[in-house]
Amino acid sequence: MITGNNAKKHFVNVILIVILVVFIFLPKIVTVSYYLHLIVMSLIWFILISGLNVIQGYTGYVSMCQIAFYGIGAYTSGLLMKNLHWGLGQGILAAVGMGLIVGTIIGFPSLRTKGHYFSIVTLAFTMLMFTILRGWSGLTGGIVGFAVRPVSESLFGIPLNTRQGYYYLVLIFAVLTILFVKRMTGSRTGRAIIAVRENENLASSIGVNVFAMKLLAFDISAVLGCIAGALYMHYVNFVSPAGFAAEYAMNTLLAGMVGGVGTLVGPAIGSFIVIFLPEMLRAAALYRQLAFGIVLIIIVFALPHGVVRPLTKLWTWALAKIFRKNNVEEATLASNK
Amino acid sequence: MKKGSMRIGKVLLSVLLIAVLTSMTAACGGSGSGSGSDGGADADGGAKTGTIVWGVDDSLTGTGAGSGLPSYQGTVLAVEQVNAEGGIQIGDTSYTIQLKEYDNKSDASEAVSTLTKLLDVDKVHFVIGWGSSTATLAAAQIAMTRQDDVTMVVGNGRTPMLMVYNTQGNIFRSGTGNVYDPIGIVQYMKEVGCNKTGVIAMMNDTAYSVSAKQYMEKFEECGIESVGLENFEANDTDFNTQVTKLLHAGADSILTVGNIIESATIVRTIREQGSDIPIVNFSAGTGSQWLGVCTNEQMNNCYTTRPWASAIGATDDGTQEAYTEAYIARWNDSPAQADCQAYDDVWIMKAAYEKAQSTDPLEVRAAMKELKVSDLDPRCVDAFEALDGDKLFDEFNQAYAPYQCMRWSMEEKTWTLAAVVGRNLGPAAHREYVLEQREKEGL
Repeated sequence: MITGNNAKKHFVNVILIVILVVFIFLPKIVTVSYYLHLIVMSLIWFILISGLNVIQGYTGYVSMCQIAFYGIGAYTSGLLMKNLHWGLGQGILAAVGMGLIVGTIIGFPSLRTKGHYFSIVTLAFTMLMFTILRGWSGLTGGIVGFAVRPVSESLFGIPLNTRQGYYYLVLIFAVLTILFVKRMTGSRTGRAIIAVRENENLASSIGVNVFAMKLLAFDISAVLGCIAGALYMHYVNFVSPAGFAAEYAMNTLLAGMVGGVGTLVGPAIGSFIVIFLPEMLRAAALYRQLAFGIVLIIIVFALPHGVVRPLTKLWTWALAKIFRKNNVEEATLASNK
Repeated sequence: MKKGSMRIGKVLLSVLLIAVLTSMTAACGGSGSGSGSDGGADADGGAKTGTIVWGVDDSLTGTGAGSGLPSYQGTVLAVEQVNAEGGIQIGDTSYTIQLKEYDNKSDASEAVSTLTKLLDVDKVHFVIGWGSSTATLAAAQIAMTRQDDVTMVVGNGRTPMLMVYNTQGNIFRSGTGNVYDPIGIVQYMKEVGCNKTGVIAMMNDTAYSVSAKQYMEKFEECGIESVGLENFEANDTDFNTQVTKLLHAGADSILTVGNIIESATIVRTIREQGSDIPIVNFSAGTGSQWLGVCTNEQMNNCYTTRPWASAIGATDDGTQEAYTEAYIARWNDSPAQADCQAYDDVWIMKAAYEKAQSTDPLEVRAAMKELKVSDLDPRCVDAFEALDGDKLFDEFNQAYAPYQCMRWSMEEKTWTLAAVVGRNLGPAAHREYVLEQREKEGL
C-alpha cells in the first residue's frame, strides 16, 4: 500500500523525470538556435553558480572569486588545446585539476578570515587574476584574447561542434552537478559543512574539523567554477579577459541572490534570470543595463531570499492540496468499507 | 488581514509566473521577423521596390565604444545616403536598406549572443560594423562555423588575428589590419623632428603591441634612437611615471600606441610636465574626442598616423570635404577613422549587390570577392589600393589603404592631412604575417 509520504515522493520523482524529459527534448521544442544558445549559457552559469552556492549558500562565506575560477578553467582548457592540441575531455580534466590546486592555494590564506574580510580577499584574487590574464600577453593573448578550433569530438553520434550536441554535453554536466550537490548536502560531510555555516564554534565543539570543511567547500566551488569555464571556452571557442573582470563577480553574486542560495534549485533559477533577462531587455538598447539593474533591485527587494522561496512555498502548498485531497478520499473509501 | 494579503500575494505571483512563462514560450517558439535579409519586391505605382535587412553589430558601449560609436554613425550616414538616392538597384527593383542594430558592449560573450540573434532571430545574412577587435574576434568564431549563413564585413576591428582565423572566407575587412610596413611612417617621424624617441604603448593588446614592435624595429633604419618602451593598459588614467621616465632618459619625442582617450591623456601629461616635444600617436579619434581630454594648445606639435582618409585635402576630388561636411551635418561631430571605414563598408556592400544583380547572400558574397576598386562609388572615403587585376580584396578578403600622417591644426582644431605614406607596402607584410600565424596555429 502506498502511504501519503511515499505517494508524495513518487509524485515529486515523476515531476523531476518530466522536467528531465523536457530538457532532453528541448532542442526539438526550441527551434530557434539563438534561444538554445541562451539555454546553453544558462546551464553553464548554473554549474558556475552551483559552485558559488556550495561556499556561499551552504558554508556561509560570500566568495567574490567564482568568476576568477571561471576564467582559470576557460584559460587552462583553451591554452592546452591551443598549444598542446589537447581534446575537450582532457581540457576539462585539466581544469578540474587546476581548480583543486588554485582553490587550495587561495583557500588556505583566505579562509582564515571571516565575513567581509573573506569577501575582500577573494575580490582581490579576482582582480589579480584579471591583471595576469590581461598582462601576460605572451601566454594569454593579452586584452584581445585568443581563439581555439571547434571541438572535434561527438556525443551519442551528435558532433559537439553543433549547438545541439554541445547542449547535451552541458546538460549532462548540469545534471551531474545537481546530483553531486544534492548527494553532498545529504551526506555526513555536507551536514558538517552546513553545521559550520550555522555556528563554527558549536561545530568545532562536536568534533567537526571546521577549517577542513571550509577548504573542502571552497575547493568544490573552485572545481565547479573551472568546469563551467572550460565548457564556456569550448562553446564559444574564444576567450578574452574582459568576461572575468571583477564587475562580473557581481553578476555571479546576483545570480545566487536572485535565485536563492542554500537551495538546489535557486542557482538554476538565478542563472536563467541573469542570462535571459538582459536579452529580453535588448529592446531598451543603451538603457538595457539600467533596466536590468532596476529589475534586479526590485527582485532583491521584493524577494530577499530569492525567487526560489515563494516558488518553494507554492510547491509545498500545491503538494499539500493534492495529497490532502487524496488522503481525504482514501479515508472516506476506507470508512465506507 | 494577513491571510488576505498573503492570498493577494499568491495570486499576483501566479499571474507574474504565467506572464513570464507565456512570454518565454512565445519568444522561444517564435521565429523572429522571419523576413530574411532580403525582402520581397512589391508593386508600387509600377516601380518595384523591396527591402534588404543588414545586421549592425558594434561596440556602442564598453571599452571599444571610442571606435564603435563613430563606426555606427558612419554606417547610418551611408545607409541614409544610399536610401535617399533610391537604394540598391537590382534589375528593375529598388531595394531600401534596413538596419537591425545591436550593441555588443565590446564584450566577447555579448558579441557571440548578438551575432547569433542576428542570424537566428532576425535572419540577416550580412553583418556590418565591428568597431572593436575583441568582440569581432569572438564573433568571427561563430561566423567561421556558419559560413553559409553569414558574411561579416568588418570596418575598424583591426586585429591582425582576424584574417588568420578567416579560413572559410566569409569575413571581409576594409580597414587595413594592424600589420603594415611602417617604414614610411617612421621616415615621417624623422621629418617632424624625432631623433630620440620614447614609446608608450598598450603592449597587452595584440594589435597595438604588433604595431609598436614594428615601429621600433624601423627606428634604427631611419636614424632614430629608441630611449625606452613604457607600457600602459586600457582605462589607465595616470601616466606620470611613464612620461617622467622617458623625458628623464632624454626623449626629444614620444610615440604613443593605443586607444584614443588614453593616448590623449598621455599628451596632456607630457604638456603638463612642461614639455613641448613632438608627439606622434598611433591612434584614431575625432578632433572633439581629443579636445575632450586636452586643450587646443596642448595639442600643438601633435601628429597621428593611421589609415584614415577623412582629412580635408586628403584627395584632390573633394571626396573628403563632402564626407566631412555630411558627417558634421548629420552628427554634429567631426569624423574619425572608424566611421570612414564603416561608411565605406556600406558602399562596398552596395557595389557587391549591384555587381551580383541578386539578393542571394552567397552570390553577393562571391561578387564582393571579385569587386574592383573601380566598382566602388566615388564617395568612398578611403583611397583603396588596387591590387592585382584592380581587385579591392586580396586572397584573405583584406582591403588596403595607405597610411596617412595628420598634423594637429590649431586653426581647424582637428587633424589635417600632412602626408600620405606606405602606398604598396601593406599587402606583402600582411600576407606574410597571416601565413606565418596560420602555420603556427595549425590552420
